[in-house]
Amino acid sequence: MISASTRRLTGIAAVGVALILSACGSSGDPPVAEETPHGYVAGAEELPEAQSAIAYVTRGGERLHLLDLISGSEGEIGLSLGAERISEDGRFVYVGDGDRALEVVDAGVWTVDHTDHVHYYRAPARSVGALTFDAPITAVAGFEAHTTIGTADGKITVLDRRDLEAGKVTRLAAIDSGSSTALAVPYAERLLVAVGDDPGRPADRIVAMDERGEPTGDLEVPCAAPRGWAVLRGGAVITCENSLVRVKLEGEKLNAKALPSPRTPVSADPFGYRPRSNEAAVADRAGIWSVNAAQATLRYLPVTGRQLVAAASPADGSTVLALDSTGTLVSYDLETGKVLAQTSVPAANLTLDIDRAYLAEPAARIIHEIDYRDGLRTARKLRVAEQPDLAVEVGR
Amino acid sequence: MRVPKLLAVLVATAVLLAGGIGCTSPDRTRIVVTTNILGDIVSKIVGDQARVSVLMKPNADPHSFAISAREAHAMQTADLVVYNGLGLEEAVLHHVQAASTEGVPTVEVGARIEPIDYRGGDAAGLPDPHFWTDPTRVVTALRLLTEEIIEHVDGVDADVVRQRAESYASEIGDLDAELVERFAGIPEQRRVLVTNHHVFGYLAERYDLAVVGAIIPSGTTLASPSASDLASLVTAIETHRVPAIFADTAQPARLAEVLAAEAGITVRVVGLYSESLSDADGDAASYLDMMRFNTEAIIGGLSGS
Repeated sequence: MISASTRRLTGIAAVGVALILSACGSSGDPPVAEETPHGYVAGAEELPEAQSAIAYVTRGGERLHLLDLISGSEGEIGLSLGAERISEDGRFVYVGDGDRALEVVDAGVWTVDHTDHVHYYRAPARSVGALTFDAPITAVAGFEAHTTIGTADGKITVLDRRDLEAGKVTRLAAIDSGSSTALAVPYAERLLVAVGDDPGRPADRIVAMDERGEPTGDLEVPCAAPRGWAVLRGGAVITCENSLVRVKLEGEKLNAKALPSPRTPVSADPFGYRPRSNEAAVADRAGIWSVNAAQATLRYLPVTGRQLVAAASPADGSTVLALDSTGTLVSYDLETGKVLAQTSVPAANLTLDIDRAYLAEPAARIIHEIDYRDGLRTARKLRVAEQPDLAVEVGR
Repeated sequence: MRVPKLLAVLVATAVLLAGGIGCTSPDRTRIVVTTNILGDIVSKIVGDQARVSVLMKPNADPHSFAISAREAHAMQTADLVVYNGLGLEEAVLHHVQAASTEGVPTVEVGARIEPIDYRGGDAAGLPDPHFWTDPTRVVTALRLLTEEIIEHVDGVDADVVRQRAESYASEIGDLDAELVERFAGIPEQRRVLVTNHHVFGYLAERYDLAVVGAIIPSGTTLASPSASDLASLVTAIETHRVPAIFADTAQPARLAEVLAAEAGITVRVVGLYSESLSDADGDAASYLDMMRFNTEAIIGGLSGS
């Protein structure tokens, strides 16, 4: 009798102890790591409007300048290299020395897309770090979770872009493309990697891989000599020699659609587009390719009488902007090719956001702000401290 | 010999139990509330009957505020988690779901106050989560929260909680009566909110206001706007002949200046509290303060005073 109740009571006591320990344990010190939801950074301020800025450098210069497009004020970030190339992914500015070195600068202004609305943030700008590669840098692509850097030896280095947001450079993988093309487009938490079978020749297909460079098995699509790319609302688009490929996440699966080009070869230049839109444009000297990612449609607009150097899409479904070699900015009707407006802007590059286009005129130290919905009216001429040889827009 | 040993174990257990109470109560958070507006309402109901933790800081954005791991953990050990829902708190929703999976009762208040749908914009047809701009719905929320608190939160005195809730409900009832009278004092054709705020649908329904959505130029477009940048707003102002607009903008003075210079329109640009309470020193430190501040600002603007 006693022994039976002893066992039972001991059992009860043991349960009691276990319960108490778990109660105390669970209300004790939890892990110290702080939660950082998508788009949130401690110390970042959320603001009611886009904090767009022009990031520019003087060729060979060791300072990245940031021109705030709302206040017109300028700041600068010291670089560890002389700038020869510059690109951006909405928040980070990638400054290359024209060879093997790349510096990543957090411009401190960015937009988080929640599809039906967006959030705008501002935090202090800073250099995140510099990297050196074994071969000259040929491509940089950043979007959401990843930044990829392609080099002339056909290798692709994958960085954790969310770590860049936290101020840290983390190399996740080095992928061998098996080709002379080194391009990986981050999309839908995967990488769309240009792959080939001969290191001496351009890639001939796009393969979806995870961030470690392992094929995910849900996409392999032919693409001869892949060149430019854009990540749009309705999917990622990649230009190939004779076509464009639109890759779209549908449910959990990636689907590819090839859009044959009416004119070949397709320009190898970068697309001009605004983030979160559905259209992008790219030009060669004699014409403009305009792609709509959501509809998976491609238009080609031949241009005569001028040599184009750049194109960009306002994503209004009806017009496209192009800049020619004499410094004339032209707005074309996409359907008919008719010139809707033109204006002289002595610039060599073109970027745009949801409201305005920006063109840098280095010799005059001016950034031209153009209202592309209002007959290419010059809205402002923003004078800058140094010669803006290379310029991109961030925070848009 | 065995019996004393057994007693010792039981005594030790009892001590541990006492200690256990010490490390889970009374400091343990009983109720976790996501937004600061609901946080104020829940705190008014419970008073010192239970510890309430509010996740969203003053002057924050309910869509994107972040919480610490400690706060996420507190949600999983709470007696009750209260959230607005209907898509408002995107960034913490997975924590609410995690707490629910752990067996913590959760209340999605927005889903239980007869939500109305957004009338226009990209979200037209989806339920509008901003129910607090209608005080009568807040009274509904308050009553249902009172019952949830009494049912789920350990150690609260039901009578005390009901009494507090009724007293707060009557304060909100007074606010509503006051607002009915104040808004009715504005001639019907002037009861128009030209705004880019998307949160006043419930207020408009309750007090018979018309909400006219307008694209309000901001940021870089304000520096040198074109007619097309201003078109939506100018049309709304001219059509409804309003003396004030209610804009969420970082540059209200510049906006008024631009409207005067570019369109020859003189309007006041009035800011309102929309989705968050202010800090304790601000004009909207509590739900009642926020509603009164907004009402005075709207009436002042529409009366042209």
